[in-house]
Amino acid sequence: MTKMYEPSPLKSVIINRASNEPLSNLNPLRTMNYKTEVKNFVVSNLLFGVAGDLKDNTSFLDSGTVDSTGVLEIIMFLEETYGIKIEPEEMVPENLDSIDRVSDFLTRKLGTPTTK
Amino acid sequence: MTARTEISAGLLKVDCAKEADRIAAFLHEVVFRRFRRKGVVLGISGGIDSSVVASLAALALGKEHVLGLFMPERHSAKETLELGRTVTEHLGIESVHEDISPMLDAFGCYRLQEEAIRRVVADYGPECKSKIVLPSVLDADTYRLFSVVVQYPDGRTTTTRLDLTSYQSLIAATNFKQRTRKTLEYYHADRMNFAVAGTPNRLEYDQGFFVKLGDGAADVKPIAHLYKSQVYQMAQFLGLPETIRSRPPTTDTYSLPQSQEEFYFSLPYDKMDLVLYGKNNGYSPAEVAQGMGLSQEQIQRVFRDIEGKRKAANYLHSPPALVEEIR
Repeated sequence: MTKMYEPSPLKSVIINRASNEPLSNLNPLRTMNYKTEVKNFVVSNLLFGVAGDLKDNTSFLDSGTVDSTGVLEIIMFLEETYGIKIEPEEMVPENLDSIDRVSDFLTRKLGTPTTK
Repeated sequence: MTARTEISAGLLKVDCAKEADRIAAFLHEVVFRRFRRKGVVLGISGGIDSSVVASLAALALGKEHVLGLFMPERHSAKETLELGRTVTEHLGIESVHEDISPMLDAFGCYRLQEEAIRRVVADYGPECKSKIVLPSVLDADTYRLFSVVVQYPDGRTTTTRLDLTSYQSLIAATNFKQRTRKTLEYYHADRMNFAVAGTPNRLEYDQGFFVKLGDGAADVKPIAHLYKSQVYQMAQFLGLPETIRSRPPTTDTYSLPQSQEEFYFSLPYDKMDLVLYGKNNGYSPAEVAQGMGLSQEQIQRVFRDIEGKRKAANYLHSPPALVEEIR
């Protein structure tokens, strides 16, 4: 039987973490920095390790960083990593179209991350 | 300074006689002279595009040099085969009927489609019907992410967003249909020394509304430069039957009827044509909006959707990448 395709294990691309535990097992409020984690994910999974001109406020859509499949990858990353459910009305560029916007969206959903 | 012509359907009016002659001359040159093939084979879906291509091919090459293939499968609409026969009988061209359901079964197409849907709709089974749909681009700024609509045997329907894995798996499984049809087109082309004619219109070609190496593969695409509205004009000029000309555009791909704007485009084809024309010819969103009675914000969203699909279509159109030029 054909094995269903599964995209790359998302947890493995979170780097510079204090422990080796999968991020989803950690209390999200204990993570260091949403911006860093989101950027790491985008660079590793959507830009294949080459950040190039990507800035925190770069529009993913305008820069071509993300297409509709890329948006799905970001949504899956956020839901699985932070244990959240993103509602259809929240799937808008205002929330997801740059590292800054995703970070702000996570802060509104989860509160400000604090270090241990 | 001359005022720019306001956006309207009149901008898409085509001189059908002149265009038919131009396409016929092109087909004659390409098929007989450049490729040295004895005719063309094409899939006949009963839709307007394949009907116009078949008609132009018969005009250009002679009807005995055109072979139409009917390739329905389990999820095809009932009228597809009947309308296809209407076209080939009207044109007097030879046809072959190939039911591709057994081939798709062998590939696992239907099983894989069901498995993909069951990832998000746990009780989906072979007795259910389904289609995938996009949200309107006019009504809101949300990302255009697919949902699957499921109809149960009791008539109840549900709509569930597809996650990344289920979306990619469902598209991949469904793509067997277009690729299987193309395999058969080339089988008949090889045995008859014919070329394969593709049937995309400009909207489909530009926006990547095709499967790579499925319906995207062909030796010649005679109407890829025509907006869909212009294809309809040609159909009327060529005298195609009214039942063909009045059939609403459909993907005829999923078990539930699915319009092309539900599945892919932002707007019905006649409006989509105008927006694409406006974008291609340097009209601003404000100018397009005014001509179409939509808001500038709505047209900006459609422009952005067009740009996004064009970027995705680059991969679909690309030939194999080579390390260096050969020859």
